[in-house]
Amino acid sequence: MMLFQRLIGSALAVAVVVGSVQTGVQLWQATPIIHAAERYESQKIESPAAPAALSTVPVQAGAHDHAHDHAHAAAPDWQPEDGAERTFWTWIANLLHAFSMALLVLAVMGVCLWRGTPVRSLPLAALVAAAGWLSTHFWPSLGLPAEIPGMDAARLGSRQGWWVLAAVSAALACGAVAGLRSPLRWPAAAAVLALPLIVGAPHIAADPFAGFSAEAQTALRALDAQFVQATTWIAVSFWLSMALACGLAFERWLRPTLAQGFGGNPVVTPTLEPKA
Amino acid sequence: MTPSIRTTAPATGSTEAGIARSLLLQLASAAALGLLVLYGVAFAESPLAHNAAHDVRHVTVKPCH
Repeated sequence: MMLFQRLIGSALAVAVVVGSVQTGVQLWQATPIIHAAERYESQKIESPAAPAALSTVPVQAGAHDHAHDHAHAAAPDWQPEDGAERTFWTWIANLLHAFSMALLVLAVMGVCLWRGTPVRSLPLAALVAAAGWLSTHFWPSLGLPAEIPGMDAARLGSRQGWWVLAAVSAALACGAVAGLRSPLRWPAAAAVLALPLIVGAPHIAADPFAGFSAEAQTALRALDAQFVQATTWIAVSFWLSMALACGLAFERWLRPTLAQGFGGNPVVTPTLEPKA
Repeated sequence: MTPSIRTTAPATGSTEAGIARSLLLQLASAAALGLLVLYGVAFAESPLAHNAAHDVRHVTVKPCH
């Protein structure tokens, strides 16, 4: 079987395990907070003239002309019904998210093997997963912390751009530390890590909860603090289960093929022919 | 002790390099597919993708609406 097919199959197996565990953890820890925030979201005081000005007019302090996309005023787009349907799509999205991350983790582990790493599969997966957590959770969260539904924020495109900048910077820093030999790799990694912080994450000048009553603001701030804490632990559980599942899948389905193709690796003991 | 592939199919240096290059290409393809799927789940602005993956985008701390 081709390596690519093995990679897809391994990532799918990892995705089913990690994505399903994530859905369970989220239903328990995050969904109640999202639902609570959405109940307040419908009480938001919106300007009726907002849809025409959507995202082209800069958000001004105090003024509330930033329409909230949840409403999608023009034509009602499909969205899953609350309950089983919404849970089902959350599960699908979690599967796809875990699948995408598993492909990246397994590919990076493969490159490490090509570079001749002697590290065994499970610790190697843990190292790559730690880099994944740093790049796709911790570093972007420093500038753009988790948000509950209903909060105002800077323009979506600029936040997505900054998110990608933070993630790519952290990934490059990890790659430099792991892959380069020169002692200069440490200052180089620090400089690359600092770049998104120097650029600065996009934020609005106004209060993100300005569109709510005083009572709702107090409740939403508490929910937001809870959500930041919940998502922190959910990310830890995601990357721990990702490390475990990718380590096992890599050892079983990918390492033998890769080790053979890259000219053998002293650590690998092929399991095809058990020695008597 | 040596893997059987070495004895049954003695490979020249150039084919070994070719195999390694092919494996690296397949690793890169898998990574590219991973980035594409990640874009669809976490960043695509299509309302359908956004609404289906809404809760996951919030929980995984991606910028959402």
